[in-house]
Amino acid sequence: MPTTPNLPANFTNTAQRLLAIESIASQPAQLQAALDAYEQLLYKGCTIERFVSGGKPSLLAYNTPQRPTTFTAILNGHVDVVPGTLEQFKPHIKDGRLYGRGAYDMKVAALLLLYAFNQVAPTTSQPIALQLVTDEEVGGTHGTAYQIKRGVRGEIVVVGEKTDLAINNEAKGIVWATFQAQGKAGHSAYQWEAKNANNALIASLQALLDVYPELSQETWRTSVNIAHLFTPNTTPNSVPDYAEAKVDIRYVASDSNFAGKTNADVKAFLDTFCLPGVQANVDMTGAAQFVEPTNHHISRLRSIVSDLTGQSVPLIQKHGTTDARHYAAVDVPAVVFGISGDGIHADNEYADLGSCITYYQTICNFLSGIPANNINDI
Amino acid sequence: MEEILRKLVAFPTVTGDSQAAHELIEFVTDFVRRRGMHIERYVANGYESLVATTKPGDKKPAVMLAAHGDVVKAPDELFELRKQDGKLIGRGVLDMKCALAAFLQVIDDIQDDLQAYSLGLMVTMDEEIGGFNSMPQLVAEGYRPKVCVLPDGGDNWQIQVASKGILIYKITAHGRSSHSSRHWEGDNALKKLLPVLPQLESLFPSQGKDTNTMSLNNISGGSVFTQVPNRAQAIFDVRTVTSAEHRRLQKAIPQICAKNNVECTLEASGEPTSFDLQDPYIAPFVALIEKVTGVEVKGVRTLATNDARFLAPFGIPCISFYPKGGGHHSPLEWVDVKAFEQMGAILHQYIEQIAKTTPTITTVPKITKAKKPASTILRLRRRLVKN
Repeated sequence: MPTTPNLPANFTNTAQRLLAIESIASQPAQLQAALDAYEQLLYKGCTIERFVSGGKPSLLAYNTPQRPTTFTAILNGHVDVVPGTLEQFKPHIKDGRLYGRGAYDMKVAALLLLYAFNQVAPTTSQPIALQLVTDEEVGGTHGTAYQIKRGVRGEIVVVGEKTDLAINNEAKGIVWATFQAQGKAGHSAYQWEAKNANNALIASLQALLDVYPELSQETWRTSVNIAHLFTPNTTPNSVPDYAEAKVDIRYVASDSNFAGKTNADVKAFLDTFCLPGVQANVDMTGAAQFVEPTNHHISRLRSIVSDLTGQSVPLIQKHGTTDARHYAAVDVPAVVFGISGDGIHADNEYADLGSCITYYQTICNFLSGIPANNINDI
Repeated sequence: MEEILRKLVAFPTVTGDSQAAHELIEFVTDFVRRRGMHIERYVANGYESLVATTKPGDKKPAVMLAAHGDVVKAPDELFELRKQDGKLIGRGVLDMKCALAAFLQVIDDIQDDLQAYSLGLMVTMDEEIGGFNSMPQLVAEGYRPKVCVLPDGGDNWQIQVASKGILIYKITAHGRSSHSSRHWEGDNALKKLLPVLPQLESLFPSQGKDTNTMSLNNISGGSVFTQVPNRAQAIFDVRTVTSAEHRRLQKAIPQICAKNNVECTLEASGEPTSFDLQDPYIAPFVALIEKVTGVEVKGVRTLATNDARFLAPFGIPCISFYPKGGGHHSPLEWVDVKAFEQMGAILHQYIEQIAKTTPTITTVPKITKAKKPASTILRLRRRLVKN
């Protein structure tokens, strides 16, 4: 039978102390301060590996003397936040809600993951890890992705981003591409002697939109947003010789034009929409996240939550991305599971304190109940 | 004259660079003041201009030499005059700093006898964005020369007899931002704007020398990957063949925009213009070109527009041409070395004929005869008198 441990008594005070740290990307010292504050809360005796990449510190704590090839489970959280108002860094509790920047996204959940790790790791026979990073809000390249590059793997990863206690097993992948059009400048009264970069660029974008039309409502399909169009030429009577467009593509895991493709493949695909003189450059790609709904970890997580709440737990899809995509890129199943709240990236961000208890107990039960016959190759 | 051109090209006077514009205006002011000209300086919407005249405050000189000193954007290296294979290469050499250099050379040539001429020099700095600031202001100030020499059009010595009209439009679409991953929660202004463009283009079934044309010269909107743009705008340049077509398009374009719920503003408008080669002030110039260059001047309809359109409504004949050269607005803008010299000679002789005030004219034949026995100037002047 699963245990139902209680949260440490000083949980809300500790959470408020952590929320008061302005750990935003532009303040590296505060990123470090936030990470250090979490580290001090780890149980004595765990192993701590510290990483730094691109100026972003991160840590990996685990319950074995050496890092195993594969952990049975990794809990992943980020302790950086997006910029907020001064008031938001003075957290407070009102009507069962903990207000403050990062309360929902996701310093509180990171603390709960740490508590669950402290509760289970010292006694379980399974190798489990807590991964805390400080760059999720700016892409995760130097945190989660960096640790993965350094060989960190798990059989299942639980990313504590907000889901209101639902389980997110599928998220769209992302492609950022810049379309660049090269033409020939000239006087626009004699435009036939010139080659208008705008015309070629727009026709190329239109060809892309013909295949991926604008979605008028939430639909689980690949979406394309023309995020930026720019012509450096500002002379009204000059034909522009250069123009560019930034395109944000969110693709579903079943879209074989993007899923599982290399950047070079994606470029080649986007180039098929381009008229002569236009080319696509891939600035960034992120894998689509997808874990089969029948995955046994997902089944267990769902049943634990529904046992605690008495309600069925939905599987949800996400259009945006999280650090889970970095694991998806190396075929490690990663699910996103987090607390309830609201006001993500907004002025009224809060965490629902009632959901915190359920969340903590779920993670504890999930970790302690992992079947012992799973891989264990320390 | 080439040295003057070198100095002029070195000012990076891309339209809107007020510092470079100021420095060029200062240079010209200093140059002509030292030679005895009287200066009036103007500023309109931040664009400086100057008028220099041989007589103080003269608003109606016989000949106004007009040039714009601004140029279109170019890489830094184009602001250094290069000489290669009989060509002078650099930004603005043809359009139209060669003319300004020739004007300054003429003023330098006649400085000792300046009071004998009824002559003005106008320099504006905003022609390349439509010229809507300076020339209209100068016209409003009352400048009404008998003739304006404005070598900013035509082709290979062909004088512009007609020019297309111009309409510059800015259209703006407004939308609503949202996160790129949930674009259906926003309203992408670019996606509202883009479908309007083919509809506008359908007004221009064929785009050529003899037809109305449209060119999409700027389009912008949005900033970062993760956001749906809430505003997008396009600037396009329309050229019209006749006044009737000009007016038709001026109605049709805003109608299409209104239908698509896109804001439309007319940034600039100039009706088509025409000049007659037989005009008593233009004919002598034609004769000089033919004499000096051997090129037969038939007149040309140019497609570009220039500041002449602000003067034409006042019945002021404008002489627009380009010497032999090419590539204006392109990275290889050039003027032929020999043609540049011929331009100086033609202008000087034209000034002698047309700008010299009457009392002096009577004495000219003797002086000229003494210096140049078989003077073309004299023959041409006789022809002008007959005309």
